[in-house]
Amino acid sequence: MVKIRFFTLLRLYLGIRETDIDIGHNAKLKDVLDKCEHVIGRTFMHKLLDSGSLMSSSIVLVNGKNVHHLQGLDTIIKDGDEISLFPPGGGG
Amino acid sequence: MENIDTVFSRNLLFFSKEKLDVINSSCIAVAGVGGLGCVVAEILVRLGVRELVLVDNGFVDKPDLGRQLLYGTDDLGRKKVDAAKEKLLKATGFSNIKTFFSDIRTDNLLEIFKDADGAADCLDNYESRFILENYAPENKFIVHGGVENDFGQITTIIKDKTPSIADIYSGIRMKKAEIAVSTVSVFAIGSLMAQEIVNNILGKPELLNKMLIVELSDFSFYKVELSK
Repeated sequence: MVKIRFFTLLRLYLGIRETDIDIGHNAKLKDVLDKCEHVIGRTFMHKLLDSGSLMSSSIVLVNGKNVHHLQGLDTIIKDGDEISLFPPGGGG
Repeated sequence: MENIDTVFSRNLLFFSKEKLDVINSSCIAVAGVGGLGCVVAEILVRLGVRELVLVDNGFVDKPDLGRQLLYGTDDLGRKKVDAAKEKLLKATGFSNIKTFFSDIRTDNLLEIFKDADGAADCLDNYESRFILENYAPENKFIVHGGVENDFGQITTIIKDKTPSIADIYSGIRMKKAEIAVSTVSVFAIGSLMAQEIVNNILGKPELLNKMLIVELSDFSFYKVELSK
């Protein structure tokens, strides 16, 4: 199982805080997120992606590490991984 | 002048004399004296820190009055650091307030950090945050905070011990100059930042390699583990 946690605007938009996805075998992040949309029955990728790339207004952490420092949407997700998705607060 | 133990007597009952002495001898730089910075500065002075170093290049403007604790209508048009210093000096009479009317620049951070044990990142843009952490001395902590709408996040940054702000927010860009924010969330996140600053002063940061995400919409607090 892979745990996907939604925070801030994404949680408010989807109305759920987290979900567990059975990926079966290692998969790319974008495929895990695709599967997540099917499982929860709601789309959210349009809130994260612009023309297929990660938007600059949200951060995606895999096991606490920003995927920009991994392989982005091609990051390999394995069983037991945790994915956190959120637009952070930018103000001070 | 009141005795210091009298002014901080309630905190003394909680912290113990030994811990309060550590807080009372500390110096903290507050980078950005806007919404978060005002709350952080006010709390730290009321906890009796020895010195605050306030850094901001702004002037008090009308939209600030809706969420920036240290300013009132009489302060409109004043330098924020001057108005803040005036209020803070009157709060307890025990904290020195040093000010830099400046933005965060590479050439002034060593001076800003010279006497500080650590800093509060209360800035309102990522570019300044990246400069702050890049040029902060290696042995000093930064408590980073950000706020938007009715949520926010906090973490402690220490070079070589935690991911940097630039690591965590890699790829992020500011959407626009004006950010939607509720007064309640500013006060809540600012208060929690002050707690983590105290934790760092006392040598026990709770948010080392953890990011606290606070969502006031359902009163939820969640700590996301961070890795380098």
